[in-house]
Amino acid sequence: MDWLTYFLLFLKASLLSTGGRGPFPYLYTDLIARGWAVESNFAEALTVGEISPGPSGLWVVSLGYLTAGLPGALLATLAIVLPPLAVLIVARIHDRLKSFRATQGVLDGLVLAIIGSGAVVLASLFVSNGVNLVTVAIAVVTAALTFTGRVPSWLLLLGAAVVGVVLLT
Amino acid sequence: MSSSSAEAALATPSTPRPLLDLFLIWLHIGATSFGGGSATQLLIQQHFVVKRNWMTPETFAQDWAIVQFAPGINLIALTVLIGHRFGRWPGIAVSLLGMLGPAVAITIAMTALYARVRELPQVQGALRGLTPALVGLSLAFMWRLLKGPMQGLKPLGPPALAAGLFLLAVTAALTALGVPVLASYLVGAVGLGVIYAKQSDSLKESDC
Repeated sequence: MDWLTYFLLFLKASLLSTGGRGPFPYLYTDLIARGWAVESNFAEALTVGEISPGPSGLWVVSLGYLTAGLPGALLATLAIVLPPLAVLIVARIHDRLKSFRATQGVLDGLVLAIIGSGAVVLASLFVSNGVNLVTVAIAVVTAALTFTGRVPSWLLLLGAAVVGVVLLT
Repeated sequence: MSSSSAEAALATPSTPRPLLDLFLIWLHIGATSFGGGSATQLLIQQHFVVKRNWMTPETFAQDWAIVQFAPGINLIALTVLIGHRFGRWPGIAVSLLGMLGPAVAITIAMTALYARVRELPQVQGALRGLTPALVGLSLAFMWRLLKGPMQGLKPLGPPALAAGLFLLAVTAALTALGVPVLASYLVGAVGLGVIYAKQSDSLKESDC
């Protein structure tokens, strides 16, 4: 493992994106292309991220552990802590930044790309896991219930895990 | 003093506070926040605005607006900004340690536990059920995220809205074709930045 490259991939994913899910398309494509992760690692890490305390973006730390053990987890932590420090610079120029309409466009455009690239990467993850009646049903039901906002995500994940044990083992 | 208003964000009156207090508040938040996002944002507000009265609601709202422009996870940027407010760099260090220390430790411990049982056939079955659930969860989450750009584009008229949807399709197509994700993110950010800037120019012209 080339640790410097490994760290820089995580740093890039966090620095050139926004939010907890922003790094997902970067890490998915970069790590799988290098053979440093397999598709299922992302489902594993995202699950841990959903049920552990703290910002949901900590799923990246779990991914670090799954792909490179404790050193990987610590490098991943460093990679998600460093970019937000730039907020100190942002705070100084916030008034000027806010006055440009393009600024909001850049942020909204980043969100568009996270959705566009993210949907493709999610589709790839879904296909790699196996497409059948049960998996399609789980995806549709989970999306619909999340959309209503009435069922907490941990309960949905628990339900899906139970269905998996019973029907997909 | 032209810099006075630009500096205001960092210089909004905030007396230095004992580092131990700051650390303990963030430790409390870090250990009791689940799910991240707006729930955690509310928890932070509870501690600093309501319980301790260290910040006014206005200052908190201003800080939250600022972190939207920072790269990476917004909640970590907020931790940095509030930590700096009450303790400069040492304040940032203890705040990050409190907010992320237990959360990162628990995340690593849970992953390590999982790694010990992952080979069990039942666990593999559970994972095969969890994967589509995460895909569904994330898709619904993204649908909600889409509201932001849509609200920005709608006032700019149908052509801008169509251009935005086209950009969305382009970012998806680029990734599907195996083009590095960075290209998608650049296309989205630059594309929508230009659309917003141009449309607001033409709005100004039509005002004249």
